[in-house]
Amino acid sequence: MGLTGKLSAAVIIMVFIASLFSPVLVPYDPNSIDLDQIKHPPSAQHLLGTDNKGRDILSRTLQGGKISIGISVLAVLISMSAGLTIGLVSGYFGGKTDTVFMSFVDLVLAFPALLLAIGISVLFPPGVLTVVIALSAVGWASFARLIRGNVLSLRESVFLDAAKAIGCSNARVLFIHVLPQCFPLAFAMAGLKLGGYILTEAALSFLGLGVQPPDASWGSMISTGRVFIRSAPWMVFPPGLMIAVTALCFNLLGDALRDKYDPARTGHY
Amino acid sequence: MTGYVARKLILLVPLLLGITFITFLLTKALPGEPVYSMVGERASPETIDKLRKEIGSDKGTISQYAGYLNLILHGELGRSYYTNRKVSEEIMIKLPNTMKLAAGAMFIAVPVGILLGFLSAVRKNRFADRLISVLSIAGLSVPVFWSGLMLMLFFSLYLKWLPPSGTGDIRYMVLPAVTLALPSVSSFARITRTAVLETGLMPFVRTATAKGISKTRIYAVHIMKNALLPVVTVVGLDLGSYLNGAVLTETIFGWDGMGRFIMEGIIKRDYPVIMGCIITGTIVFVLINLVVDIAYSFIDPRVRINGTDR
Amino acid sequence: MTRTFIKRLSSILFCTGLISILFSCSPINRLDGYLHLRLAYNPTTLDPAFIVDVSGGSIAAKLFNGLVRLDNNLDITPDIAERWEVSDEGTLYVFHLKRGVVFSNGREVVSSDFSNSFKRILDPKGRSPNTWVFDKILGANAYMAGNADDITGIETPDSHTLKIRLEKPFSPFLHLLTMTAAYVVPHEVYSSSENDFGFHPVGTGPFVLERWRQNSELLLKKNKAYFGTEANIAGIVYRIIPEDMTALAEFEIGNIDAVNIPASEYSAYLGSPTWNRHIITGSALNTYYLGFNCSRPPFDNVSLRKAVAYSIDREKILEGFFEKRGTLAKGPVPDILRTWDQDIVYKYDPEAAGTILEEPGLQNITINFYITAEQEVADISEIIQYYLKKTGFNVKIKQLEWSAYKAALNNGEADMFWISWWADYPDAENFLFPLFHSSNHGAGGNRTRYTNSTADRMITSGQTELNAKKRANYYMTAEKIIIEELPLLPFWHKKEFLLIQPSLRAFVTFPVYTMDKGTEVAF
Repeated sequence: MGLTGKLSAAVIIMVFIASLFSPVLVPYDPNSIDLDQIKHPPSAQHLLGTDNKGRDILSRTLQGGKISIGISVLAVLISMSAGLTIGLVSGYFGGKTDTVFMSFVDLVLAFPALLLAIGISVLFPPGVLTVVIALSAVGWASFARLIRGNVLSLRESVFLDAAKAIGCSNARVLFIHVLPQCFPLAFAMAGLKLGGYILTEAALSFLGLGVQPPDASWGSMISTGRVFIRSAPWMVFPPGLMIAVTALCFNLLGDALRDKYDPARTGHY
Repeated sequence: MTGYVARKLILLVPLLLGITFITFLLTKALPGEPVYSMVGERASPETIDKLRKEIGSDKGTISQYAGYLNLILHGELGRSYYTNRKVSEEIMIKLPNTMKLAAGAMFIAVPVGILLGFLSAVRKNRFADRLISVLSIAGLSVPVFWSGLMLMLFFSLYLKWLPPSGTGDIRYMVLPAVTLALPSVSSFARITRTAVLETGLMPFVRTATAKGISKTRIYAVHIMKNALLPVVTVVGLDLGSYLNGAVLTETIFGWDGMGRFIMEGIIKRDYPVIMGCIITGTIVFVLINLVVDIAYSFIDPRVRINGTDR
Repeated sequence: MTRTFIKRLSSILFCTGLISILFSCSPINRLDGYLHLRLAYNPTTLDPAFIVDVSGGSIAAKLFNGLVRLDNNLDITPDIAERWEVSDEGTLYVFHLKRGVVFSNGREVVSSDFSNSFKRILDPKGRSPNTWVFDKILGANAYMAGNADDITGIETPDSHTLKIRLEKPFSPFLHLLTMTAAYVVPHEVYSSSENDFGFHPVGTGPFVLERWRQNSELLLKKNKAYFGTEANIAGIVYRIIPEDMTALAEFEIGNIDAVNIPASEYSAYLGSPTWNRHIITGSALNTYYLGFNCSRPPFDNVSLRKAVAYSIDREKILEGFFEKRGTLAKGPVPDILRTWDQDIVYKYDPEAAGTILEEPGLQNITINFYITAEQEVADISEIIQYYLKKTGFNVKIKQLEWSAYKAALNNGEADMFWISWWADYPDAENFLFPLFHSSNHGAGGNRTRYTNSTADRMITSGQTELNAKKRANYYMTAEKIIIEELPLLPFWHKKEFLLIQPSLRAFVTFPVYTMDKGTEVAF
C-alpha cells in the first residue's frame, strides 16, 4: 500500500482511538448538560464551544466518532460482502439465476429506503445496531448491481475462457479469477459508501430512527445543528469537518486497497 | 432484444405483486394506525371504530390486500385516507415534477461528473487529480440539507439571484437540481476515474498503443467507451433514487415531488398513498434498469442481453 | 490532450456562468396587494367537516362563518346569527340569522343550511372525525348510530330561525359553535361535488379560494360580497414551505410578510437592531407537559410523580434553554382562562425528591420516556433525562416517528411522555375534560389514563352548570385535585413570536386560530 493509503488508515485509526479514549482526553462528560453555558462560542474553557444545552462540543464530537465510524464500517462490510456474493453469482451464471437475483435487487432498490428503514426499526429496538442493519439492508443492492455489471463484461474475457478450457471448476473461476477482478470496483464503491453511510445515519435521525438521545453521532450532530447554521455555527463545523476528513481518508484508503488488489498490477494476468 | 424487453416487462407483474405484498405486510406490521392521524388530537371511541370500518382497517391483512388488488385490476389506485383525493391524480401531478428535477440534476451531474472523472484519470496523481479527488469527496461528505441550505443562503439571500423555494419555471429548478446533483457529480467522477484507469490497463489498450493510434483517440474512443459501463450503472442507480423522490431536497426547496408525497404517506400511514407511490416507483425503476441494460449492449457488444446464452 | 480537456472544461464552466447570469433576475415572487404567509404543511382539506389540523383550520376561518365567533377579548360575538336566546335551563338555543348573508356562489344562507351542515358531520355513513362537537345535541347519538332518520334536537321553524335542543345543559356549547366544524356550507355544492368539496370549498367568509396548488401554494381572493367588515387586502397567498430556514430566507427577501421565528434564530433576531422592532408576540392557549402513565407501575404511585416534579428545574429550563419563549405553567389550565388563584407549585427541590425516593420500593426506577423525533422535543427530553439522572432515576429515551408515537400513547405503552395540548375554544373545560376525565382515556385526550371520580364529577358538573361563578368553582376544585395528584407535570404555555415586514400594519397573533378572519391587517 502506498504512503497515502497508510496515512489515511493511520488518520482513521487515530480518530477512532481518540474517540474510544475520549473520557480520558477531555474534561467533560459528552452528555453533561449545563444550562448556564448555552451556545457559548469556542473559548479556553470549551475549546469548540457548547451546544444549545450547554454540552461540550469537543467531547461530543469525539464520542460521536466512535459511533459514526463504527456504524459505517460495519454497514459497509456487511453490504459489500452481500453485494459481492450476489453480484458475482448473478453476473457469472446469468440466465435464470441472474433474472431471479436481479429481480430481487430491483425489488430492494425500487423499495423506498425510508420505509424499509422504518420497518427494520420496528422489528429491532432503536439504536446503533438497528441503524447498521437498516443501512446494510438498503446498501447491499447497489453493490450487487455494480459488481454484476462488472462480471457481465468480464464473463466474455479471453482469460475466463482459457481458465475454463484448462478445466477450472466454476467455483475456482469465480473466486480465483473473477472475484479479484471485482475488488477494485468494490473498494472504490466502499470508499464512497463509507462516507455516505455516515450521512444516511443523519437522515435516519431526522425520523428518530438513528442513534437515540442523548448519545451523539456526527450525523445527528449536524442534523441537529443545521438550524443553528447562522446563530451558532460552531455547533455544526466540528462534526462536519470530521465527516469530511474521515470520508476523504476512507476514499483514499479505498483507492489504495484497490491498487493493492488490482490483479493487473500484481501480475496475475 | 425485443424478446428480452418483453420478458422484462412480463416479469414486472410478479415483481409488482411481490413488492406490493411486502409493502402491505410491512406497513401493517408498523405500529400506528391511519385512523389516529385522521381524527386529530381528540375523538370519541365510537368515531374511531366507525372510521376503522370505513377505511376497512378492521379487516384482516389478506382480505385487505385482496381488496386492494381488486381495486388495481379496475385501474384504480384508491383515494388518500386524509385528503380523499385520488392517488392516481396526485401522482400525475407529482411525478412530472420529480422527473423534471431528476432530469435537471442529471443534466448537470452526468457531463460534469464524467468529465471530471476522466480528467482525473488522465492526470492521475497530478495536481488536477488530487484536487478533483478532494473536491468530489468533499461533495459526497456534505449532507444534502447542508449543501442545499448553503446554496440557498448564498444564491437567494445574499446574491438575490434565484428564488429560495417553490415549484415553477426553470429558475426554481436551478438550486434543487444543483443540490441533488452534487453528490452524484462526485460519485460519477470517482467511478469514471476508477473505470478509466482499469480500462487503461487492459491488453487492448496496449495493442492499440502498439498499433500507433494516437493517445487522444485511445482515451476518447477506446477507453471511454469501455469505461462507460460501470458509469452507466451508477447513473441508473442514482436516477432511480431521484425518481423515487428526493425527500430532503424537496423539503428544503419546497418542491412538490414524489419524495414528500410518499414520506407524508408513510408518516401518516396513508396506505393507498404508500402503495400507489411504490407501484409507480417500481415501474419507473424497472424501466430505467431496462434502459441501462440495453445501454450496456450498445456500449459493449460483448454483453449480450438476451440472457439465454448460458 | 489534457489541454483540450481543460479548454472544454473551462468552456463548460463559462456556459454555466452564462446560464446563471441569464437567469439572474430577481428572486421576488409576490402579488401586489396580497398578504403572503407561510404554512409549514399542506392542509389536508378545507372541508370544515374534516379539518383537524391548524393549517386547514386557520384557512377555513377565512373562507367560512359559523353562527357565532370569538371577538378579540375571547368573548362570544354574533357571526351569521344576529342574536340568540338561551332557555333558563340551558338546553334550548334559538338563533336568529342575519338576512342577506350569501355564499360565494350567490345563494343566501338559510337556517336549513346550518341544520344540513351539522347533520353532515353526524352522518352515520360519513367520515367526519369531529362528531364530538355536536354529540351533545338531543337525538345526535341515535342519528349517528343510524337509529333515527333525523336529529330531533335541530329544528328550522322558518328560513332564518334555528332551534337547537341539547340533551342536557352544556355551558361551553356556544364555544363549540365557534369551531371550524360548525361552519356553514352550501348543501347543493358539497352534495354534487362528492369528494371534491375540500378542494373547491364554497363559503361565506371574507375570502374565497381562488387556486390551490397542492404542496405549493394557496391563493385566497377578497370576497367583495362579504357580509362583515371587508378585508383591507386584495387577498392572501399561503406558501407551503416545510423548512424553517427556507421560510426565513423567503421572509428576508421579502416574499413572505410574517413568519414564525424558529427557536434557533430567536435570540439572534431579538438581538438584531434591524429586526427586533418587528417582532410581535402573543399568548396562545396551550400547555406543554410531561405526562405520566397513571394506570400502571411505576407512575401509578403519586409520590413518584412528585419526585419527578421536584427533580426538574422547570424555571431554569424555561429561562435558559427555552429563552423565555413561554410562561411557566401553574397548572394544566392556561392563566388566561383561569379565573381563580393558583400558585406555582413543585418548585425545583432535589432534596425533597431525594426524601421521597428513600421510601421503600422507589429505588433504581427505570422510566421509558417516549418522545417524537421533533428536534425541540429531543432537546427537552435530554434535559429532563439529565435532571432525573441526578436524583437517581434511570431514564431511557425512546424516539418514535409520529404515527408510532401516537399509537403508543393511545395504547398506554409509555411510562412517561412529552406532548402538548392546544385549545379548540377558550374555556377551561377544553383542558380539563379531554385531558383528565376518565371517559377520555387514550385517543379521547386523556393519555395519562388518569382516573379520579371526584375530579370527574367536578368536571361534568362544570359542564352542566350555567352560573359562571359556580362553574369556576367546580373547575377550580378539579384543577386543585389534579395538581395535587399530578398525572402530568405542566411545563409552560408557549408564546408565539412572529417576525413581520415593516410595511405591515395591524397584524396580530391570536390565541385561537379561528379568531383570525384576516380582515384587519393592512399594508
